[in-house]
Amino acid sequence: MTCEELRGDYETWALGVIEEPERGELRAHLERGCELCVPGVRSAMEFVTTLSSAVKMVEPPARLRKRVISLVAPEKPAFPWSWLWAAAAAALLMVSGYLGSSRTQQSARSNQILEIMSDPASRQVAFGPNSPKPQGRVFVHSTKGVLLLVAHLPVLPADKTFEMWIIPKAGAPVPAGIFAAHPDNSANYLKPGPVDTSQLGAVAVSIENTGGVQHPTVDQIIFAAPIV
Amino acid sequence: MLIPGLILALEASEGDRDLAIRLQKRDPHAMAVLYDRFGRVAYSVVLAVVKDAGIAEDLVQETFLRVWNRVNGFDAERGALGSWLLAVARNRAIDYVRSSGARMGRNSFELEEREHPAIFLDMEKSIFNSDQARKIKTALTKLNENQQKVIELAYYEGLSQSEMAERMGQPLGTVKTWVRTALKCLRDELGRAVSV
Repeated sequence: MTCEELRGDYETWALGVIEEPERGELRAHLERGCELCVPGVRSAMEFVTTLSSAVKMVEPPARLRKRVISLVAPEKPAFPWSWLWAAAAAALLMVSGYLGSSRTQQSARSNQILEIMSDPASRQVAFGPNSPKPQGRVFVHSTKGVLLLVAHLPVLPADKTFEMWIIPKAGAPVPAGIFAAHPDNSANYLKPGPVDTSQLGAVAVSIENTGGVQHPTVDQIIFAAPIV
Repeated sequence: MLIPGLILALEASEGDRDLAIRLQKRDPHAMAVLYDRFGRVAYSVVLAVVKDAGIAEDLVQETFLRVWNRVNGFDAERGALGSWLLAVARNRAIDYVRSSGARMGRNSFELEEREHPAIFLDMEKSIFNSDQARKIKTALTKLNENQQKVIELAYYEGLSQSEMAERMGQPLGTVKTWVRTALKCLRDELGRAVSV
């Protein structure tokens, strides 16, 4: 199709409603850097973006700012003041080592999360949208691991923990680690490492005794996200 | 409804170039500035689509991470940071409602290409001024019921025209006409013809 024929589709592309064959035709023009279509879709995207001004403005919760920033700015762990008072000079060096190590680990974890979320090869599944809680998303990457983002987790007693399970299409659930919820009852939990995505049936979370278990307590599974 | 906060946030494009450069240099404090500038707008857009505050928080977090992770592909000199971030935010929300509605067939790649940083070049930095917002509001009220419906289904649910036709029980050609006339009406009201 010619640029002139595609001109009327710039805005349907920007809005995300364009159909084939126009979508494929326009994509081809964009991929070759068409000097008419590229500025055309830019202008259309600018137009579509202005539609955002019709959205009702809502103040986000204050914790969201902290959540956003924390993933790129490693949190400072609580300084062990009581221990510090009792420590000798040699132990202070150990404290420094601990802090450095912790920050490094946090930064590495943040990078892992960033990578798996942004990698186009990651498969992502939403779960729980039609039930009150919990709700969230699972990202699965064949080499980088399984990332769980979940909100509306139940409040647990002190002797309980959340445990993630990788459930193959055939076979028993595999324990994937325990995690705790943030104060707002959300959690980001990453199980790094390779995953056989061809055999992966679901990712689930159960409530277990502190320390975790090797087999899930069936009636304590709070959600399972099928990996389709 | 006019959105003063939105307008103010998106008019604050002065300094976007410097902010983008700081993000590219992996300055964590730049992320805080980015959030303070666009967090409220992004949250509002995402919430309007997913209609769940908890999910909206997750998706806004994902939005900012995605921008952080891809900002090195953004042209700080020519790019419109706010427009890009808002497109990413809406795409994350649309991706969520599509995947949760088992409409996985046409999402990821299509959304990826619509949020590529190279798209957001040479845009006006102050397109979100009060006059523009007033025109949008006026234009939306001038659409007939069917035109408003297709714009809502497209903007808030990410439906294709075929999906709209199925949802509304109307022929595809009819829906395409509604979409096209609705967009033209909005564009005319804004006085923003697509320039090629």
